[in-house]
Amino acid sequence: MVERMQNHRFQDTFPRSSSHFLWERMHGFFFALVTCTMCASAFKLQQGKSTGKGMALVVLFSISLSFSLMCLANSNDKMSLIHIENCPDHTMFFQYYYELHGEPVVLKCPSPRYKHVDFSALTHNITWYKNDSKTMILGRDEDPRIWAKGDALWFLPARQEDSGVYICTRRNNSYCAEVSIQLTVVQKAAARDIAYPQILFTFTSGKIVCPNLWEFTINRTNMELQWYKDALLLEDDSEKFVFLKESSSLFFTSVLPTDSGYYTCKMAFPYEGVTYEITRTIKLQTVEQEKRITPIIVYPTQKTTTAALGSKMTLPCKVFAGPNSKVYTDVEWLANDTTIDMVYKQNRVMEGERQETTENGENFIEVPLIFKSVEEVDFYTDFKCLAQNRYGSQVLPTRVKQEAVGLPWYIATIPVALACVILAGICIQKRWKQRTDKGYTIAKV
Amino acid sequence: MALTIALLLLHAEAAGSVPCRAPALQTKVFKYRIWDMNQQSLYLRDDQLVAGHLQGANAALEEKVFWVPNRFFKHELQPVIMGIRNGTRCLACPAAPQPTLQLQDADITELPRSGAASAPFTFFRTYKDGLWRFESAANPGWFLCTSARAHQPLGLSRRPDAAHVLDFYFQLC
Repeated sequence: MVERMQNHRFQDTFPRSSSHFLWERMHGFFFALVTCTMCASAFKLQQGKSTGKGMALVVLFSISLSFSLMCLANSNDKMSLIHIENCPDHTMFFQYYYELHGEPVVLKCPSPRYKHVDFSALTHNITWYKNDSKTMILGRDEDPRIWAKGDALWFLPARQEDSGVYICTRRNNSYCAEVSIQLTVVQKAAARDIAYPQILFTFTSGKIVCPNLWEFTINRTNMELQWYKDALLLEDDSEKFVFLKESSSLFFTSVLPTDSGYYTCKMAFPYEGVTYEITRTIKLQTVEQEKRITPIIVYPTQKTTTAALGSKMTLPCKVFAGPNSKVYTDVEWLANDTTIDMVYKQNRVMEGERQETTENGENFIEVPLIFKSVEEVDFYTDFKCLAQNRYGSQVLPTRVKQEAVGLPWYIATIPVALACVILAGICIQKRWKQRTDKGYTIAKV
Repeated sequence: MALTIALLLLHAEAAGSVPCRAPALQTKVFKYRIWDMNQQSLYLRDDQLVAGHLQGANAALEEKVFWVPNRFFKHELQPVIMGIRNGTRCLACPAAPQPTLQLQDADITELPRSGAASAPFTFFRTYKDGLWRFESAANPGWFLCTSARAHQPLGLSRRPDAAHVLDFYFQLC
């Protein structure tokens, strides 16, 4: 790392700002000062009692530890000695390159968006190194097999021993960023291990695509691909496939379950008199096409539900969603054709949690409508359960009816009512008697 | 008279005897896979969603899409709010003459309750022959799109052409 660092400094021909230079020098001076102080103090302690020796070492160790911690803290601030010498920004590219032995490979130096600024448009000096090598990778004149050109690193062709980490450095006079890229070159026999997964649905049309050919198709008009399935060349004349010209796709008119497997696409790549071959392997998975079932509301079955004023109530809506759980079915309650959330802001009435169940391989979805307390307005509201998926929908209107006064209610209230009637009767009789008495007296006067 | 009222109330309680679960709102979040008709999956690069072919171990980089229906808009439009990272980073497309796609920190289960303010996060879905299109609710006529060239950011486009792919596969994981 130190060697590479020095190398970088040597390579670095860009003028750096004087403040940076000053900081570096000061940093160096500070380092020297601390080291000297430490040495001096250690020496002093050593000169003392012989038992102080161990103590001195501990002191020395702790000082150097705190100093290295200081350096670490600095490096977090992107101000460390190393990073000023080198780049403030070093990242590992998150994608790995997997390539085949003997084939052309292009690594691209990623252009990071540093602090949300896209630097790809700015001109940069880009340099390439292999992690375990000290020398910079130069142009094609220096090495006809591995060379750097612009933001790309070419291998023509790549070999298994090229596997490793490549570091590209983007630099201009105000910015520098390093990115490490992992390249793995495998033997052709291992092509399936580095396949690209792709998916198609059975009994529909669709295409698979020969990926990552971009670098090899620039400035090319004819792009002829050969497609193989399990090493067998696919013919264009069959009705099954359509070879889209000037496209990197293989079109299936109707995908069958037996179409799953490994596909290989090959493209010839002529470069300065030599023709190379580029191979990509695709692992095609075929997924059964879903059954087209529109949802069916199985509950509520009745048009009305009775409830008493002030009571709690739950109205469940159960929907048959068919045997295919892959299709999303939306189940929702509406009040006067409006979402429940919007009508009942205080959540007096609200939708309960969606429950998904499977009964004998069939899927059901249930969403309850919960009334915390039934109010009179509910008897005049249109409630609807709506079930919808991509193939259709069903709506089931339902109403809440005030509970008719039942027999038990009567039985419970009859004695009370009777008592009331009797009491009232007595009262009326008494008053009437009083009035007749008074009337008589008045008449008398 | 008080006795009558008490009896009435008691009876009302009995009528509402359907077991009532602890109230919970319908906030189920669905986890789906999305990929374009050119078989490109989505992954994150510099906090941007990018579409590309992912090979070998790179396939693990694919971002799964978490989504909820947005009931504020008409259900016929199949409105959805989508996000990645368990629905904590949501796809947003605020109204603009040239709309751009962003990822915003948001709770996907809360967004549908924000009414009209949820429009930048909402997409209307249309389905045809196994493929979906996603139209920005805040920018009518603009659809989610990938670039025909691999490893380019997910964006928005008015119509499909040689450079833009508007059709996606959208499946439960």
